[in-house]
Amino acid sequence: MRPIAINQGALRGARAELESACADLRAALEEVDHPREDFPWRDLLVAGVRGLVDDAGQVARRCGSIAGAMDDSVLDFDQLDVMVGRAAEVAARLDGVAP
Amino acid sequence: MRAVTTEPFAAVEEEPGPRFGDPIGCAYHWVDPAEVDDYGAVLRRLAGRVELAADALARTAGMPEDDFAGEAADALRGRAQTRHQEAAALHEHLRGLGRAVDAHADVLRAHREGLHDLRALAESRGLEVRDHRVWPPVSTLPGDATQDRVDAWQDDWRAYQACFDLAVELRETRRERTRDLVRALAEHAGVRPERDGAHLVLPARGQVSFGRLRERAAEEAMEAVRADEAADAARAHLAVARRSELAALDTLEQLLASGAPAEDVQAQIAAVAVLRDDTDRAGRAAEQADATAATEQAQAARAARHLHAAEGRDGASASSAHERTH
Repeated sequence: MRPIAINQGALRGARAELESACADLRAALEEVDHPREDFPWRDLLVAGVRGLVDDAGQVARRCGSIAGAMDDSVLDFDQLDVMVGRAAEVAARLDGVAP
Repeated sequence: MRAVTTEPFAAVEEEPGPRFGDPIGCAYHWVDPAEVDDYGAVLRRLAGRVELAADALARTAGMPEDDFAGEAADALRGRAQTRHQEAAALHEHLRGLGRAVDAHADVLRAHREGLHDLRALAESRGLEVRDHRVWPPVSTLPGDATQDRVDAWQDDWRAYQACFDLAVELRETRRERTRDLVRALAEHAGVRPERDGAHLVLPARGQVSFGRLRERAAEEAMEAVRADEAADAARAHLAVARRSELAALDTLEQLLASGAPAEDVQAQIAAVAVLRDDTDRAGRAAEQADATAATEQAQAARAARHLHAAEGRDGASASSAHERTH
């Protein structure tokens, strides 16, 4: 069963915030540049940072996925509006009433 | 999401530090600390973006039923709450590691400055600095060397000792402060040296025994310096004891000349006797110290001859010693 969006404005706002945070996070991930010159424990540090960067990538993906689910519910309701409108037109024609 | 354990951290040994008698490296040959600063800034920026995502997820998780209703909405809110908690934890780890990386840039910067100071110290004390290394003084001293020459030789070895002590201190300080970074990596990124591959460089096997001769010669040289210092101290103590005895004899002479009472004269005679014993003891100690100093000097000369013989056989010079990072 799809979630029911009662306040679409609030839902759209939350979705936009999530999508914006997700995009900003992805942009920051692109900027990660590991030091090339050597120093003690450099390899260990880069391995650790790579792990955290992977986790941040996962956060970005999950934000996107949740934003997508909210998006679905908002569009569904809009589509429902359209379907209800069409059904009303059909009913009016059947009744011989001018739409 | 990353699972961070709380097992006790075990330090892993790096390559060995400077060995006494070897040339002392004074060049900083690692990453520019400014690059490590930049790395820390990247981590902090990423932490900020993760925090924004965590906040957005929290707002989704907190949407009221009036806005967003039904079982599926509840499930979505639950998902958002879980992801919010994961993102918040990741933000803390990124921030913690970012701080540790910033601190580590300072550690490397301080180490680089310390190596500059080491070079300046060596130059100010008249040691040879070549190929970014402080070279130990000449090991041998001719048997007929003048006292001036011996003194200069000992000064050189004292200077080398001071530089060596500074190099050891720099290395220990740097290693100790670097443990903070390794601890932060274990705590925030779940990586550990013994499990995730340490970067460890060991000295080449063939050069270890040759280096041992050099180390032995240098140790003998320093023992000769210390024995000479002890002999100087014993001679100074003897001079003080002699002066005290002479002063007491003067006083006895005055007492006799002025016709002092017999018991006063007797007491002073007894005092002179005690001071004479002190002088005799100090004299024997000074002789012993001189003999020890002569023996140590001879041992230093012998160790240096062994080293030179070995160098001649292997056709290698002191400059071929393997690289040491400090």
